[in-house]
Amino acid sequence: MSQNPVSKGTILVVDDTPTNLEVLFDFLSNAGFKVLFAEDGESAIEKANYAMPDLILLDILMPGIDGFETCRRLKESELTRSIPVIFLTALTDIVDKVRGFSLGAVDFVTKPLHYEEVLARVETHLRIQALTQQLQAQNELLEHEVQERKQAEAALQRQNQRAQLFAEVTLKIRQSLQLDEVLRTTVTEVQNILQADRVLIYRLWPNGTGSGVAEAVQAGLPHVMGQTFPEEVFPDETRKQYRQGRMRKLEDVEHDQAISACLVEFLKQFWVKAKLVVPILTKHELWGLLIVHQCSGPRRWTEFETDLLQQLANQIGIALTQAQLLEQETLQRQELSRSNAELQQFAYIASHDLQEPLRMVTSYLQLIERRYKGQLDADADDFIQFAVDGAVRMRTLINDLLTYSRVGTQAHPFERMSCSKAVENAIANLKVAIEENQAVVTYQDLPELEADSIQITQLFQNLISNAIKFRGRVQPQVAIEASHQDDVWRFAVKDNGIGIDPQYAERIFVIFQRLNNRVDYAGTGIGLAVCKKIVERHGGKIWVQSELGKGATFYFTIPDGGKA
Amino acid sequence: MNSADVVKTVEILLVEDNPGDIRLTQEVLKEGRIQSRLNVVEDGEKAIAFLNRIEPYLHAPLPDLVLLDLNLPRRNGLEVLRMIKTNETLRHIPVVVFTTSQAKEDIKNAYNLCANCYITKPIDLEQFVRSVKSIEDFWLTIVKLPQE
Repeated sequence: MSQNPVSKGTILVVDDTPTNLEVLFDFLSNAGFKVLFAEDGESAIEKANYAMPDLILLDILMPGIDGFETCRRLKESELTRSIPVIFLTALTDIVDKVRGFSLGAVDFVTKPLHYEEVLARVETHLRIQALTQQLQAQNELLEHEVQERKQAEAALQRQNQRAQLFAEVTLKIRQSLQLDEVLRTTVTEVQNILQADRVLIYRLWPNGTGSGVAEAVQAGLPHVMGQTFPEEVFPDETRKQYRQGRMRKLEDVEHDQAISACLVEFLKQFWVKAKLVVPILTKHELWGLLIVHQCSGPRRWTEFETDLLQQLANQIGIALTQAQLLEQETLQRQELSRSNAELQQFAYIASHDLQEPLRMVTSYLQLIERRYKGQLDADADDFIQFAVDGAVRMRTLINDLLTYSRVGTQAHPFERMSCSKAVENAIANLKVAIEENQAVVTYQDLPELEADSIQITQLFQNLISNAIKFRGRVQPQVAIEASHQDDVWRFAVKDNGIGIDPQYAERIFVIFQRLNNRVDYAGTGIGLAVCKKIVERHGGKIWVQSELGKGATFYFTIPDGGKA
Repeated sequence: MNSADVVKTVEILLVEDNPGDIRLTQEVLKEGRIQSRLNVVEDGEKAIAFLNRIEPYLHAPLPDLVLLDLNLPRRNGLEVLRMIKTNETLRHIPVVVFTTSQAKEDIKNAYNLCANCYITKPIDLEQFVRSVKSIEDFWLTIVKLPQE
């Protein structure tokens, strides 16, 4: 065995009879170990503490404290606990090996010493020790890594949790159209997410005062809800900042030099130590504030927290705008249904009350005619005729108006209907006019639609009727076609009649607008207005392309599938 | 029709608030072949009193035919109709609803309450005359009604 230039480790040998150990010293030294000696337990502990040997060979029977006690003390100390101890014991000694092991010894060697064995055991235990230490170091490293990873995971989880909470709150805000519910949800959720002591939604009223309208507060803290605060609570400058959408952050109310003493006093009432205030804006109006209070102590608001609050305030702003719109819409709808009901009432009156006086006029004029014909002169007969014509015209007008008003009030729900069938019905209804004028009405490739079939029939009927009424000298020809383009069906009703001056192309759809004289072309000027109303109710458009003397083509569109 | 019936005057109750229509109906019936007496009441309440012979109609005749307008003061025509058709002694009397209303609801309600027929007053005198004569013809000569 050669001397190793580098020590293989330090071994402390503890024995009260050193002379016995000279040979051991030489043997271990030669094997490359640095060897230290101690002659009793107490000095062994002392040496172990400063020399930090890699292994201790410890005699059991010693004066003063014995080997067991020495071992116990070594193992008790944090510093020396991990040093492996091998007991030296005489073959004749009756020692309790179990006690030795239970005290933390790793091995026993029997005296007289067999040096090769000692060396083998020492080396084995040092190797075990080295491996143990290495393992421990690796474990520590691993544990550290695990710890780091756990922290990262926890942070991620927290962030995810917050993101999810934010999404939930946003959803709740969006879904809820009840304002109170939106506000209650917000304060509760924000308090949860931020673990804040008080979350408050503060409403700024138009007269300048303000009050809490929703609050979530830690038990035991004073409530802000239910109190109204004067205008002076917010200085003009602060109010202006809020109006610009800027938030206000106070991390330590008591030690912030920038805030006024009176505000500090005010905040003390509610035990506020730190606060975060974000304005809630609806369509550029400062509606109120979203306020977070920390009462347990100062609080540094993180970017995450301020961002979150800002986003939530934005969401509330949107929700508020929506709620306001809904309220407006509801009012409008009520107004609309009221006016619809009035219109229906009007329609009834028109069908009954308006016609009665008219009937009186007509009937009694005719009674005069009947009873006194021949007893009056020719002029009188003419006058009576004019009066009767007027009354008849008036009746037509009332009936047409009734039709017009019923497009909205007596509408039928949309259902699958055939346009060919509607055109057939329209032609049947116009049988007399078509025969009188020897008109030819053709149609092809008409689709099925989701529509009010009675109104679509009326629509075709009015357009065909017009096409025949405004005929030229030649035989009237009416062609109806449909083509599909961009989600709508476009219909064309083309005639070879007198045509329309393009400058009147829009005016003809206005109620009571007439372009022609009464003698040649009877009518009330309501037909096309009815057409327009029907098409619009179906979500489409109607227009005309024409030139004087060259016929006219009326186009209208109905969305594919119909629009209720 | 036997000879005894010819001399009997037919009692018609006209429930109508429009004097123009009352007169017109009178004029038309005057031209008719049947000897009839036109009893007129101007509102639903009076119609009910007349039919039930309540003051001041204690001695009113039981009509053979009722011509009933719908749009009436106090009690409307449909109420009068319901009263007639739910009354044991009156329900056999034919009730002709004779009105200006073309409202679907009115037509439906009238038939649901067992109106015998529903006629819209024509605007033209000729047609009006024809309608009244048709009513007279159909209900007072063609149709066989229960005898008292």
